[in-house]
Amino acid sequence: MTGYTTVIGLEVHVQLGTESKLFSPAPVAALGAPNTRVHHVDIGLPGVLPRPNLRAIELATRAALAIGGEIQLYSEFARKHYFYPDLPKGYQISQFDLPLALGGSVPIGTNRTCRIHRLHVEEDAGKLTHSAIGTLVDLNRAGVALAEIVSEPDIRDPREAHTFLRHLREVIRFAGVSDCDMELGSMRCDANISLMPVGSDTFGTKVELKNLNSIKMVQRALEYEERRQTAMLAGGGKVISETRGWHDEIGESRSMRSKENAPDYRYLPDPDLPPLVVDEAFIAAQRAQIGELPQQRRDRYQEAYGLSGQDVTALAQDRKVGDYFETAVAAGADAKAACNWLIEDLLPALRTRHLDLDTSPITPSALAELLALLADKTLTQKTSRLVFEHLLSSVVSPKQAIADLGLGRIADPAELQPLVNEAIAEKPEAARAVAEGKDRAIDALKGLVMRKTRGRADPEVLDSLLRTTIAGNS
Amino acid sequence: MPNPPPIDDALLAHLGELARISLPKQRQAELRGKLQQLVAAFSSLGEADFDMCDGDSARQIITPDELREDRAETPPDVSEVLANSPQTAADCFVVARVVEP
Amino acid sequence: MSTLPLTATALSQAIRQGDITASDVAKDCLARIASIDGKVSAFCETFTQRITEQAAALDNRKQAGEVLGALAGVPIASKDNLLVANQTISAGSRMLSTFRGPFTATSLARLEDQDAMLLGRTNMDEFGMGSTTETSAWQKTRNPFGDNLVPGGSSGGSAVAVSADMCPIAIGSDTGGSVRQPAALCGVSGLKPTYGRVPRYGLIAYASSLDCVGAIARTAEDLALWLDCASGQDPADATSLPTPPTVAQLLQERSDLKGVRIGVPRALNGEGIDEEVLAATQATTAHMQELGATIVECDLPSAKHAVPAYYLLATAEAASNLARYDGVHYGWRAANNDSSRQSSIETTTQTRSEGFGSEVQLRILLGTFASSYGYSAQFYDRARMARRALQHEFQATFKQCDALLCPTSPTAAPQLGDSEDDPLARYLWDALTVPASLAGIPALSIPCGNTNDGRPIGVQLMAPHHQDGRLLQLAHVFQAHSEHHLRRPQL
Repeated sequence: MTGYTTVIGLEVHVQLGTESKLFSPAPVAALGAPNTRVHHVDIGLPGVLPRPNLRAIELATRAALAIGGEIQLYSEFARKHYFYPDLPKGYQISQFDLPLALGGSVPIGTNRTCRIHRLHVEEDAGKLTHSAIGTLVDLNRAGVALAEIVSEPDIRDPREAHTFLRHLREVIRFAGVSDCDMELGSMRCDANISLMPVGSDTFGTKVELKNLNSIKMVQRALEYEERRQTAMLAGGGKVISETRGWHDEIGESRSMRSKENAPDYRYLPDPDLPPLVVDEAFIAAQRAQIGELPQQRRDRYQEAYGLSGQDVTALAQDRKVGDYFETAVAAGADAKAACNWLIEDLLPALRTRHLDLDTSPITPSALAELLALLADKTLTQKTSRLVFEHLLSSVVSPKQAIADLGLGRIADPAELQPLVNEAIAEKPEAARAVAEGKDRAIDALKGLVMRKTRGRADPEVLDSLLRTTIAGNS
Repeated sequence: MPNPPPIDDALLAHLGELARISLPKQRQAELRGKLQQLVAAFSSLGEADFDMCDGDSARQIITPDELREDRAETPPDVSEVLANSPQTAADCFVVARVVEP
Repeated sequence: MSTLPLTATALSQAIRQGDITASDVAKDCLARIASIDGKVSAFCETFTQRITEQAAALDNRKQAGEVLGALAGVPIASKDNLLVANQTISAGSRMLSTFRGPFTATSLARLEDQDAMLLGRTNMDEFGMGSTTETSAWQKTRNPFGDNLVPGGSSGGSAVAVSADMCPIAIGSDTGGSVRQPAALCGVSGLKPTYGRVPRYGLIAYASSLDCVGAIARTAEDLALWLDCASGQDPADATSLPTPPTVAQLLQERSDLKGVRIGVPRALNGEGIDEEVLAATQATTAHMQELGATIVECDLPSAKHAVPAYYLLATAEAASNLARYDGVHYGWRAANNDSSRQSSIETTTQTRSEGFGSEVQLRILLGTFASSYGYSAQFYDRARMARRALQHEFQATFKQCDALLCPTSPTAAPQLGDSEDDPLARYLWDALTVPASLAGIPALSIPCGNTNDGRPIGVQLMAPHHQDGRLLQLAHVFQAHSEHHLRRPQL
């Protein structure tokens, strides 16, 4: 971008992976008929009081630690006031001047990091649907626990925003905090973007972008906005402070509202919730729960298994993938083979079946067993695929799958002899050629027997049987 | 005594908007007068000297071991959730059309 | 014989001994209310069917040989802001005219656990915002000691219910004096426990950091009985305190006040207080001295900031707590609106402007101002500082004395409609009760005399955090040696 420096800051909401809501025991579920996941606390019924969820605080603490944030020993819930029908109490319980964590950073490129300003905990709002009779309010989502991560305006390029979100998602998933699925809304991102003349240190007027439903969309929306603002400034115009909604289908953003009058949220410390005081022991316990982070894991895999950079990146993308890999290796699988099967076969297969590694019909030990059967030649490359497919559709062990499929190797000469005889009868010219010393002609006969046995004939037994039979006939 | 901030028409209208309370013409003078009287009297806090004796605050605190365990409970039936709502349809609360401010 | 003049302590004993039945008690209460509530309008509604069934069930259990709880068959009225399962509870507001609670407030459920019977809901100032019960959307409650006298507020209905012998205990809530002050004005005893001692779950909030569930009774002994049943940590209330030891036994430990140091803060015993009230208070001090107490003069300089601090904090929290009444999720919604045509902002604004009374609207506007951008530093934040300063002063003062004493109210009950248009004058009237509210300490009011024209006067005692038992002990000793609490209105 010539003439201007782009300045981007991100605000990311991550849904904390709790069973119940932040302040009520109502279950958290992505689906469910309207208002069937709603406790009295979630509608702010007169007389109710919020009861903070321990796990939400633990997970938020882990998220903050995973990005290098500093947990505040004294933090406070605050009420953020605004009227909106998806906000039953007329205020959202969030945190204001005393958030759970401050600081931290996320890598955004080679030798580039984006500093994190803060991480705080807050509750989600409900969902509105517009209809002919008015607006319908469903509060299933109201009160779900979120962590909001606010970056410093350190990002200078939409591609860096993309990198930021990829890294953040990876780390948060790793820490076991959230599944960070932007399409399902368990990770949401708003972006602030402004332009300033190159060399300036005064930020320009910023625009907030909303409706960004995937990491790629964040990048596209920022690229569009960068172009729009550049054109505007280059034409002598002024950027207006506003909130713009991204419409991905047409590749444009549109103004939602002006920010001229900044809303007055009248933050108050929530008098129903005493300040939260944590100690070093609590923080240490949460740190211990995070375990290894992606970069540490990549280094270790490269070191321990001699895998390629591409392989370790694929394995460390998600804690569950690496965990699965390690369990399979511990069960005896060859590291390189386990990696290949996992990344190239198992994960794509699970995705098409809408399963994940937790619900995978092929357990790590089953994969290890399959690889062992392949290594000892019980299975051929071809039959191993059939076993794999069978395992995916039914929960059995590979050996059972082989039996189910009738894929056991046929190494008994008595069983193979009639098939060998048939093959020679069907292709006498090939048998003759073999007898005449044209050795490669035997492949045609082998292929025939293999077809008849659906690949189950033991290649070595078959070879010697063919040769002795042809020799005997001539 | 520091000068109390004036409660003028604009401020009163702003407060009404924030609080979603309509301020019909005939009530404005009375409300402005009452608020002005209270705000003037309460401005006395602005000049008081509250040098904090020590850091020992009387405010309660809460520690992680006092927080609720993350266990989901069966929520009330949707009919109970909606029982006190003035208007419902399709198991939802119904409100007038939301118009962005 | 009517069972009604009995105290709760005596009543529950008689029922457990089988001298009277719970059904007799319930009938007496309902009959008494039917005959006199028309004059005083203490009740919004009696839970007639509920209490009749409850009484019958208690009598059956008693007959079956079961040992009944500490409040066996005691009829208890509760303020219209405490939820009772499946009963309409309105907090004195049109906004909640049809609101039904789906559960019973913890503080009431605990009484039922001890076999108390919930009698009905009593009238109150709308959302607790008032000191005379006149801001109720429903009716004007009258002081039994004079037709045109206010009962005080905001728990005016509860004070009148006890004062007029309609029940031995009535539950109220006290944010800035709403239990103590009506108790004083109606010649009965009222306790505001330490903040957090009695859980708030099920109490419709006014100002959460100040709201306390309290009780009104004729004797300190009944208040102790109530407190032991209602106290204790509630996992549903993050501000509730760990369950404390019981206090009732403390009342038997003392028969005089020897060695007790009673502080008389100058700031709360002089300026702005009626002569007759001051005289009654001084007579009480003298009486306590005769009973062995040492009187200590002391200072509480920040008390002069208590009214501004209280009203800024309480209204800021109220503006927040009452934001939920938007006509969407529960409660009343303004008529003449068609949700397919109006905007939600219009509906909400119309609903709030018609659903809330004028005092509530004034306080919401004041609280919105105090917490709004540009003003919160000068008002809300300063008020929090004043609160902390006052808390520190109380702490320091309690190093020199065991309890503090001052009048509960600067005047005895005024006439209905007296100060309606001057909010500042009304707010200053709370100057003696709001300090204990801001500090979160226990405080009670007991009768200590009356004016020449027969209006009751109450004296307030305050103690350090968690010393509710000590406070009741002092009051009990005083009541054992005085008769002010036995005086009854002529109805």
